[in-house]
Amino acid sequence: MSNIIGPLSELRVLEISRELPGAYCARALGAFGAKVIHVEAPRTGNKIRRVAPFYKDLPQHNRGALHNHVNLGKLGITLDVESGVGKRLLKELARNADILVEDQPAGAMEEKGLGYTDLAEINPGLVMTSLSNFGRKGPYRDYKASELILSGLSGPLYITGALDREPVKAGGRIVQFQAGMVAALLTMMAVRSRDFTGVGSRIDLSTMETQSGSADRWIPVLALYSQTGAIAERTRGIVLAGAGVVPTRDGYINTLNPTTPSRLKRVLNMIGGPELADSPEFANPVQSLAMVNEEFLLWSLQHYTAEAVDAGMRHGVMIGPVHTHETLHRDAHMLLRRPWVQVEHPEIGEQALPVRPAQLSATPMQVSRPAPRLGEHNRDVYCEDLGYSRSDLARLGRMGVV
Amino acid sequence: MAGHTLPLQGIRVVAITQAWAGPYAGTLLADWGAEVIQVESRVRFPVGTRGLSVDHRGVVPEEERMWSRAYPDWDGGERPWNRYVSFNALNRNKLGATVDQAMEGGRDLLLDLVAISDVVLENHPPALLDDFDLDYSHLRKVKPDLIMARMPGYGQTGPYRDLKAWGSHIEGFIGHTWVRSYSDIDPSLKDDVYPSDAVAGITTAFSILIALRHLQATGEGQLIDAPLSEGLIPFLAEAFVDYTMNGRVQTALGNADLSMAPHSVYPCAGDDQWVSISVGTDEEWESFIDVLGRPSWALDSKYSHVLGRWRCHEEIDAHISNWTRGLTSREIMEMLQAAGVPAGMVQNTAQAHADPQLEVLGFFQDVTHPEAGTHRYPGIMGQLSGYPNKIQRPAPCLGEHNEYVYRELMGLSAQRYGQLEELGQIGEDYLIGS
Repeated sequence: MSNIIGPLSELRVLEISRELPGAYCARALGAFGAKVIHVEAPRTGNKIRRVAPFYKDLPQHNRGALHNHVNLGKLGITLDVESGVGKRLLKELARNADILVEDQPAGAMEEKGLGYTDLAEINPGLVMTSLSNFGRKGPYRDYKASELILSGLSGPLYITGALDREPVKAGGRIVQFQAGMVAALLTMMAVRSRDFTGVGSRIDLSTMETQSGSADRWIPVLALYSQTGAIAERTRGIVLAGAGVVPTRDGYINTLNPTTPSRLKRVLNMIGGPELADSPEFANPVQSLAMVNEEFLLWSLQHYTAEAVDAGMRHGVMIGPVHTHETLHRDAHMLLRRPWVQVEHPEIGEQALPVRPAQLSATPMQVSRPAPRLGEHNRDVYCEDLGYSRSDLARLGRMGVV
Repeated sequence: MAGHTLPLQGIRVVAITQAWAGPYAGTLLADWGAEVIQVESRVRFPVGTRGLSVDHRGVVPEEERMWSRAYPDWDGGERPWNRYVSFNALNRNKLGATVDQAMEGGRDLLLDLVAISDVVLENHPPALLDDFDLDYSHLRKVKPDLIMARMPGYGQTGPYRDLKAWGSHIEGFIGHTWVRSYSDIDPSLKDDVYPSDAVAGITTAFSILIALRHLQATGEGQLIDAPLSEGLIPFLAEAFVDYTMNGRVQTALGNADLSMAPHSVYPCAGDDQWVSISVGTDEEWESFIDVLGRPSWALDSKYSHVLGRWRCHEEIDAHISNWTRGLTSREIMEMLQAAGVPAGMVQNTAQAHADPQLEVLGFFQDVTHPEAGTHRYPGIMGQLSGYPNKIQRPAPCLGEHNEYVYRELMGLSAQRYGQLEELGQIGEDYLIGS
């Protein structure tokens, strides 16, 4: 298959990540034309292949939703990086790479003779993106992690949910995806430096830092503590009212407390016209909040979600629909923008994958191939790129290296 | 390789940004050397960006103290917009200048600034700039190879184009509200979260780096449409693809996980203290019950496999809570991790500030702000070998760098500068009341 042309199209990425952040980092680079070689363990493959849901719920390692999403467009090879021959092959691959994305346990790359200093000697331009859960040193260095643990130890889990209950997780694997996106950003910083100096660099990034430094409330509340001593808490007594998520005739909308006089005016105009907007009862946004919320609820229960969103748009009131993934796919705005791509997968058929976080007018994201089957591109990479013969490859296969 | 200039040295960014998402994108560029000029209006108070009101001077009354109204020591001072905790925490490393496109002279001034810059970054409803002919096609006339990144709620096209949104609205729109939080409550009882702000900020900064590389190779600029909504959609791919692939509509799981059990947040000794535990494999389960001292309830054979534990996860959780209540979250985390069982404190912000791992990573950093004083701030994410990852300067005061921007960079005469001051364009305070 031909390689797509993009702003990164001459860059080769070698990815030996075990976890989601590394996989997503490499995928983000691949979407703009970088050639990504995704290295997996022979036979078992990456554990992301075993994450549900699967196509038709059949646990089969080419059919997972997460695998197909984060490994989209990559070349897949197998390699036992623990074996002596495996290390040598990995070094050869790294010699030819512009970017190496890895999340081996702290010190493991150095032990294999594949530390940054070793690799920089044979490939001074290499950008090595080293990812970890909690850092490559320190007391949590070897701690095991999960999405939940990462969110609690370093992110906003403590302040998410209701005060009278336990803290509750955000959806999916947002924390790990976010770490992958920060990794892609820092990798591009290093690529930019290299473009000017010819010299690569080592990136050291932990998911812990990407949460501790996240603008999902955590930066402001960390600063709140150091500047006031106040410890942010979960929401106290969420009540059914005209703020946050509010029911409509056929579903839910999300709105906002009208805490300023101008916002209040717009809300009152929307739900009751000038009569309500000019009523002295509602002059003070703080004092009338409960009353406004009650009026809002009466209004929203009489309107369909689409009508309420429409009214919000006309009156300058922040209202958004609350979608399920089903209603999202019926939303006129989504159907017009379609921030997904259709990919033909040999085992699944036509697949819609939500891979486009932003639209770049001159360099749109492109996808050349579905996520690889295990070892699908061994021949392309070992024979065509590295120059091994077919019989060499067969021998490596018998040795269990690939 | 010490002594390298930072990767974005020499790149100038005009940031017309508000709230969190836009400022975060600018900060991520400023952290790595871009000269980011936060451009602000003196006649539109940015609610949520520099406070909730221009009039919040002096001490915040006890009953109104909340994080969205926070100033150092709860004192807004004389110029509360310069002491707003959120702004100062989110806008490190930037410069500040004032201009308003709706006032006399503003549009031309903004165009002159764009002409000597590389990137324009903004996160407003499209009309804020489009109504004054400051959209990409007009800006390109003064800077043909401009990169412009726009981050509205829903995008530059489509029926919701002009719909205003905070991150919380976006979460509902893209299906995040539906699939998160407690599994046993009505959606209207869910609190607000804002990951879409953070994610759009990171995605936009990344997109700008891609665009800069394209510019360097071809001389061509471009327009980036990076709505808050679309940044987060790829992160919820499992639910999205489960629908497109299997037709299944996912709902909230609370703290449960489809392939792990036990997997939840448990109460610990102390006030509002919690620990999260994620037992993934059967080996981890054995190690886990070893740490618990192999109590009789845990030896039931139906718990020895993940499927059995998943089916009974509520009764297991009750047993675990009885154990965790007697210990601190740190004790539990250290005991379980030592035994190879994934567990972690659910840290509040005081605990995060005292966290030994963040200490080793050197994450927090003291920064002195001319009006807010010296405080400890969240720092820069990640390290590039050979580069300092230190905060170089505090968040800007309103209009703090007007002289530098307009006199030094743009070369305006003293007379013109004075005129712009008289017109109200240039200054260090707001021209409006609440």
